[in-house]
Amino acid sequence: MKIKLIISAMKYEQVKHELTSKGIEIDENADLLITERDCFVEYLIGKHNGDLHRISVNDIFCIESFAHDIIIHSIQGDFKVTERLHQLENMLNPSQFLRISNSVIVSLAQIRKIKPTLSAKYVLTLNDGRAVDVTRSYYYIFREIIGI
Amino acid sequence: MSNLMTIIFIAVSVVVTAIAIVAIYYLYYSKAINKRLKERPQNRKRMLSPKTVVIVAIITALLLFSVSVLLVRMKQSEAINIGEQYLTAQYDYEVFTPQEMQQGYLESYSIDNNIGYKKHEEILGDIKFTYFVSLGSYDVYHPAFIIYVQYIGQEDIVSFGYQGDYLTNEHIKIAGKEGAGADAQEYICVLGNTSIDCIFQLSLFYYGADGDMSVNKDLNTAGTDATGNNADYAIAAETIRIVIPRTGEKSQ
Repeated sequence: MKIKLIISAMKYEQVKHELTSKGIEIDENADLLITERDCFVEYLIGKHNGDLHRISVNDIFCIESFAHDIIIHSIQGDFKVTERLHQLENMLNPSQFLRISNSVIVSLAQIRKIKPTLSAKYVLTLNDGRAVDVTRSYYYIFREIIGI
Repeated sequence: MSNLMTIIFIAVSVVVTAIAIVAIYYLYYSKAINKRLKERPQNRKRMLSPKTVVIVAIITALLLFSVSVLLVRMKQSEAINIGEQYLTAQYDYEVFTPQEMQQGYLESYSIDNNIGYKKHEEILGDIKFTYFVSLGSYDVYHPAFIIYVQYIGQEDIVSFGYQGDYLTNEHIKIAGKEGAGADAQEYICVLGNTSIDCIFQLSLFYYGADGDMSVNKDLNTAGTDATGNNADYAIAAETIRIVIPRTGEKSQ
């Protein structure tokens, strides 16, 4: 059995030891997760041309879902990840990342400009020039977080 | 301006104002939210979204438009709807010189006393109005009012002009006429009659030589429709309003 651990460094080795002693393998690509409350990842593992890459969360512009694919747009380029968007939302620090639509999580530090519309929507321009929409469902939470 | 034009003008004004307010707020909001994005201030009050401002602007514009149209219609209906009784009533007055007052039945009227009339005196500026209001009810043979007008100032008067209007009790004009360019007289006498309770408003304009020339010039320029009366040219110009009760003014 393969399990992915998302826990603080302090507890990581202890938990890893306990699991491996019971024959459970620790794998970054595992579908099963063990997570610690209020512990957020500092990097994500993504695939590009078949190679695995470690992507620092500070380098991420946004994470988008296209049908069954989840793509991380980062300074290093675009990477595909295996986690679902809602899983990533839980793994990432909410003070750094915010879900702005059913298909996009955005890094708050990477928002360059907010363009309001006359309907309940915003269009965000990120530091890489990409434009993403804050949809109506996430409009009020976005306003709350940004303080506008 | 016609009714429709006034309403169109109000509608355009209200719409333009609403659009301008929304546009200005949109620009301000865009700037403010980007500033807040950079500063990320804590505990800042949330701003009104442009959507809210649009809704508020539309509601306010509709309210303003409705109130404005209502006011315009009320004002216009006031001006038009002066009442059936005023439309069917009789109004007339004539202006007489001292010479004319010495002829025929007019001889029986005097500036001192008139039987069946109550005397009033009023001095406005350099013009003295001595007027008599009938104590009886309407009859076609006797005037409802007799007004003697005298210029009592020191200037040399060359000509005079007048304008007399019948007004409803709400001061809406029912009927009237005017004249100008008549030679100056020691006094003039205005005799008028009406079959309904109303107000008679009399304006007098006394012109010196320069004023008389200006009035005549205006008359020649404007054609026969113009009266030429202009308070700016006059040495003395005053207006008096007299309440005419056709049930007869009660003696005190």
